[in-house]
Amino acid sequence: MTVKKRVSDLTSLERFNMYYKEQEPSLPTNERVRRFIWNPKTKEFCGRTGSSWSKIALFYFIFYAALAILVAICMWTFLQLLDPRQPMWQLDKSIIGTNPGLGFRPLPPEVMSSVIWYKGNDPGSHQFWVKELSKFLKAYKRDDKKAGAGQNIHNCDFQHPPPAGKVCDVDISTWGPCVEGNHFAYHKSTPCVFLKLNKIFAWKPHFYNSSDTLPTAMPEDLKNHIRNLTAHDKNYLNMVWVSCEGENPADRENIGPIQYLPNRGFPGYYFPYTNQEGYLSPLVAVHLQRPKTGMLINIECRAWAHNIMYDRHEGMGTVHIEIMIE
Amino acid sequence: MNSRSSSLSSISDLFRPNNPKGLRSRDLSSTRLSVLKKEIQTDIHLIPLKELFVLLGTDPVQGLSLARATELLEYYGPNTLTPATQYGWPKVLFRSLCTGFSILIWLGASLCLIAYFIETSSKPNASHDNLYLGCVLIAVDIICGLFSFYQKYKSSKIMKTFNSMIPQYSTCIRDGILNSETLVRDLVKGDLVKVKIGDVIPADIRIIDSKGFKVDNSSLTGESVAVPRSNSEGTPNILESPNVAFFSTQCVEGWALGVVICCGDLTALGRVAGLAARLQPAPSPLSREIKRFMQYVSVFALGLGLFIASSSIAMGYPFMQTTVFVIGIIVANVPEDLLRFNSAFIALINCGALCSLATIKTTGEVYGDASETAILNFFSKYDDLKSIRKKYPKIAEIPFNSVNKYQVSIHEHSEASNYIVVMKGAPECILARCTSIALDKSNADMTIEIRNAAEMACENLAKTGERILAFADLLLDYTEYPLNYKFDTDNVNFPLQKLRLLAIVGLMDPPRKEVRRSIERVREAGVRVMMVTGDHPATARAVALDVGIATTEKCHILTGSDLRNMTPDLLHWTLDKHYEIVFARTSPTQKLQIVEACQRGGEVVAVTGDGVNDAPALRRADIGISMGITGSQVSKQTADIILMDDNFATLVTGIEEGRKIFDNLKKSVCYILISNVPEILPVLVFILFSIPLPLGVMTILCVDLGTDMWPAVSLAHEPAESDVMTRAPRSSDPLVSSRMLALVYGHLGLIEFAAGLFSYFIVMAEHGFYPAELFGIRRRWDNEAVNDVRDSLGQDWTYAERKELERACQTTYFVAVVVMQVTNGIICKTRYNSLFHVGLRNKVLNVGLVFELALSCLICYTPGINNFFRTYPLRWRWWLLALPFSMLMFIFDEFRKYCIRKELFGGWFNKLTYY
Repeated sequence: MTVKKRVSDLTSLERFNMYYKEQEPSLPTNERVRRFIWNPKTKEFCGRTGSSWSKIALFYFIFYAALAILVAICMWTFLQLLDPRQPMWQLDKSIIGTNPGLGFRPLPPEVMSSVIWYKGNDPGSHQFWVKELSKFLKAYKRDDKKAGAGQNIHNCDFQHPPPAGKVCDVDISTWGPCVEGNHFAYHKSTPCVFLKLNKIFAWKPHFYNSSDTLPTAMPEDLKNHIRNLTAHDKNYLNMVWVSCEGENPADRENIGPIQYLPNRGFPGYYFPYTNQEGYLSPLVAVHLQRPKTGMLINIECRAWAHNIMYDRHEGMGTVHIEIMIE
Repeated sequence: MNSRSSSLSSISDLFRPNNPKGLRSRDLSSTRLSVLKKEIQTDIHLIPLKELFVLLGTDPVQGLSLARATELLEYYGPNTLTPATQYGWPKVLFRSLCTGFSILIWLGASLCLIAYFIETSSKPNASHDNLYLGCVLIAVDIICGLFSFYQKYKSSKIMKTFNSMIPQYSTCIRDGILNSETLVRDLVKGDLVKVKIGDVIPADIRIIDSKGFKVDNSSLTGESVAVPRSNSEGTPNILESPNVAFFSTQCVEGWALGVVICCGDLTALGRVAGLAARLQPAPSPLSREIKRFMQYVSVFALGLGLFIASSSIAMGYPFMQTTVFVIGIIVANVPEDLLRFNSAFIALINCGALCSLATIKTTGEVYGDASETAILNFFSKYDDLKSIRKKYPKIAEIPFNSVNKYQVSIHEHSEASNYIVVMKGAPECILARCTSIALDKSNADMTIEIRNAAEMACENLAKTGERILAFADLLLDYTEYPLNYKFDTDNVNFPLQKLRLLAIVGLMDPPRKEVRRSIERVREAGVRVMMVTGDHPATARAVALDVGIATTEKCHILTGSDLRNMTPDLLHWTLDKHYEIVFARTSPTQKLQIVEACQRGGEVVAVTGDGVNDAPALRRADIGISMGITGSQVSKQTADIILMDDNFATLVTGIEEGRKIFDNLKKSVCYILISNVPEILPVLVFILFSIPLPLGVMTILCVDLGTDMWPAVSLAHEPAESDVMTRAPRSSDPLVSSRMLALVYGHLGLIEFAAGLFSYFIVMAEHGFYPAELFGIRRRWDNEAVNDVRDSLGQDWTYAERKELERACQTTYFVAVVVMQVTNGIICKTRYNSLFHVGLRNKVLNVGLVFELALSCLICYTPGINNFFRTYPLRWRWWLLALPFSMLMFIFDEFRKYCIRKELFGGWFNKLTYY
């Protein structure tokens, strides 16, 4: 057995030889680089031999595999703790809060843009929007051939809210001009835009329970509409109302008359959303009946209920749509 | 005139004021420096006086005419030392604000501001994030810049100190008139000057006439010896020539008349001063290492930034997004810039520790003159001091001085009622005064043989490096000097000749043993020790052997004249060949040459010295060390370190301390670098997998400038690891090695990243976005027009809600990084030892880790602050998400260190990760 000399046992001259070994003459840079990439003397590639490379590859493979497995185990464990049917944090406890926003379809394809822009007389240019809408509404189509589809769908109305485990139907086939067969009226330069209220798990709207206590900010025509409707049937008070207006005075002029289909709001029997099987968001089709062409029209649509706050900047209870028809 | 004097005149041309030869001031300064680095080559002290007078155009009696003197003064400038050309402060400020990495930060800041202005001009309600970020970056840059500016722009005081050594007035003969109030600055070459005892020589002069003239060269050489100077034959080396007296030296005896041969910057002192002031001091190894590290970081950050920018543009991200990425990358590397700031801070802390340590040592015992103590100690073994002192009371005394080199005291012999004069001092002085010698029990006359024997004995003792004293006495005749005789020690009224030689005593300097031990320890640490001295080769050899600088008689000795004939290459080669070298009889320039030759090999050179003549070498050295007590003012100002106790042993502590600092700096860097990985990788994940950005730029800043700072600095307080003094010097041990990078980027950093990403995914999942849902979601997620992004449970999220969730997730990621960094801080305490062995005894670090957590709480939960940093008041349970990874990290690192200690797997981890 050889005894290894400790550094402190060496004499100063031995140390000198140890630390100040005779240096090899330094090579020119390109030669050094070449020597580094492939050193024929030591059979080293990039400073390591083949076996060394394979060893280090194996080591890192094992190390990273172990790390990945740990991440996977942790992730799996945590995900097991979550209920797959409902979010861990709901309503006020969740960041989503209790104030739903509004969404609209069709969505413009470009990033950071919300303009629905097409040429009214050019079928090629509005085809995109029609396709987008068809795609979106596919989920709403009753497909009888598909087994099991629509079996928990219930035809609801205000008197007949859905029983447990059932969801209400959204029948889009009867919505006047805003149907696929009519190209959603895009070819007539009178496009339909579909509005939907954002789903928030377990959120229930607080309806305006009397037509006399409607907020002052609500547009007059909606107020009148509500009064007319509820005078005839009180059940209609259980609605989340929807209004669309031009944002600026010019827009208000350009937008023309608007038709809301099938109702001017989302009926209350669709709420609350609890991730039921086959649940469909209620929709409102907004049909612009005579929009001015060649103008960019800014539209702001709002949802109305006691517990829907409005903040344009935060996108609370509102959505901003821009339409331009040439 | 021969070629030598013509070269001399060209040198004096170079040192004229008002910019001779039309050189730019900086070129002029460097030309002057290169001229000063050469040895003085002149024959002005060798040529006959008559020739000299012709050459200088002066008259040996009348001196220069006033007109000629004025003309010369006009042409060559005043007889003062000109300070080196320095950069103006705006330039220095500009340079410290815009070096290396700060440029990148400026770039980041301007990108932020550009992004902000684009956003504000294109959007009505743009967020102010980019503005805040830009401002923070600018603040960081300016603070760091100002700090290094302050360090750089400490105006050089060296020249001022040199100038304080020069007298105001001198006695000069012009037009035959002697004026004792000629301003020294007005002296010119060829002036006749007169100096008498007490005067400081006003320029380099060649002696024309003198009487008992002696000068003390200590201001120049540091050795306080009075050497005679007269009008005699010169020696080739002007510095040793006995017919020349130098600027700033002091006349301690006699008077002399001389002619000025060199003025101002061209004098011997001027050259030393010029060298010391003009030499660019080598940066300390630490700062060099940090500078190199900074360069790597800059290249790394720039490369990564470009890579990310190009890849994100290639993948179709808009310009604004790309800018944000690049800013993120730059910000992630900011702490490395702060290292500049940190390291100065660390160095300060440790420097203070070193100095105070030294002062404690001196407060032990108070010694008198070391040699007196030694003699008394020796004597007390043979007789009782007190009774002898009682028997022979002291009547009068002439104290020792460097001119007489002896000490005399007169004692009363009460029993014989007469007086005894006793003398001790340098043997050559005493032997010259002795006529008899005390043998065993009788007296004998001093014969030639005895005298030679005594001189031989002295020489032998001197060779072994001993300090020699001779003792003699004289009995005074009581008739001539009766009791109550008034002895006058100023005007000596008693004989100091015809003494009886009593003894010659050799004294060993007691501290040498300590020095020997210290040198052994320094050598153990792998440091090479060389001796450079102005002394005689024989003395130098003896001292070298004594203190252990030379371990064999055969040690290589080079003298100044050997050096003079050596090319720099030969000197470098000689240094390579011989391990133990002693340099003797060296001039200031040669000392500088030796230091530069050592540095050529890429080695770090430390120089200790105390004299004015050491100043250039001290300045050039990587580490200049001056002596606090005996050191001259100039040497202290040029040095990097001052040993307050003049104790060589302190150096050992210094080396130990230095290595500890370096080790701990490595730990700090490792700690800082590890948090880099979880800061950079989110951007990559974001680009590659299109998930919402896991870590925001503002939170990156929080980690880099907030939570990481204290722990990183406090790692400097870790005690030294066991093996510091048995390691080789770190010529091949950079601050950041590939091993550290492997550990940081390949191992620990990834664990930290995994922890962060895991926490992020969990918070997303708890809100309804399962991991699978997130991949590819980015386009919809970041689109402000999309007001309803659906999560895995069917909920629709508005843009504002999504961004709020993103903020919460980013904060969770941040918190995970903080928790991991706390673990990391504990891990980085050691590179080798187990943590269970070391324990958590570093209080500064412990407080730092608590501070880190507290600060992150503050950032998360304080209203306003969390809005500024885009953080979110997290649920407490989310703090725990990183814990499994924290444990993994700790266990893995303990395992790794265990493997390193035991060299398991064929030293696998040693080779891969032992930084």
